[in-house]
Amino acid sequence: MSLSQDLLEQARILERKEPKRPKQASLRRAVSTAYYALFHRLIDLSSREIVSGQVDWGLREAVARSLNHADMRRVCKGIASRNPPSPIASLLGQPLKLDSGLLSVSEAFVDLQQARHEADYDLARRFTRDDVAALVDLAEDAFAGIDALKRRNARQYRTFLLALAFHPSWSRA
Amino acid sequence: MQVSPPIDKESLRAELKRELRSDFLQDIRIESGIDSSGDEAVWVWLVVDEGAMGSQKNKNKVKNIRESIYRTFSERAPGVFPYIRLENPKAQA
Repeated sequence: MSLSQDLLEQARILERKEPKRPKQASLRRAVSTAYYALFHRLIDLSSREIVSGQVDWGLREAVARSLNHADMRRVCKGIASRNPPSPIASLLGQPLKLDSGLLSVSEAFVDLQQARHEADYDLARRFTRDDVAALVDLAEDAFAGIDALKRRNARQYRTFLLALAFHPSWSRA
Repeated sequence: MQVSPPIDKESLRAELKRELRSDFLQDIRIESGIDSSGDEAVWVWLVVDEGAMGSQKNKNKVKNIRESIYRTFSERAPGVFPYIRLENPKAQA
């Protein structure tokens, strides 16, 4: 299984680890792991889109390392707000009609990145199992969303994955 | 730089409560603040009974509620992202 799938599975295990009185440590790690599952899923898909076919593993790995949390969030937040930045909006297709899979993965990325920050750094925040279960569900739905997007709308799928890597340079052009 | 209009939390809360009426959802609480990226944001707290996420039916309800909240904010407060969280009053008391 892929790293991202393993992380998603691990997030669920952590969320359910203590059946009666869940430890904050388990719940916090579950949230963080759910975010990283989606982060690595998107990086994997994006780098495969950029470096396709049978290639030297090192090249794809180098592309994967060039993606980063902040730039990916900017792209996702623009889409989640139904207002993608230029030139992503025109590349997604005109008139712009955002696929529900694209919306769900973008919304989940923004929400989970903030949740990871809260889980890792906000010690005043107390997590409940219900809250964490909903966040792990969100990551699972995002995995399904990106798969559905690939089947339904190849143009938006490719544009999204390329934007995650290239948006900073596109926005400078 | 685009500046978002101030968010009227009470009217948004009332609107969401009307729109999302459900036996599963006890209440909604909205907090505003700055997120980890330095952007203006809101946290929408869905108050539900402890163990609510144990059923698939409720999981589907949360999914629908999420979609509705994201859409509402994109229309009513563009650029202000709603972070959706669940709380159980009993578990947190």
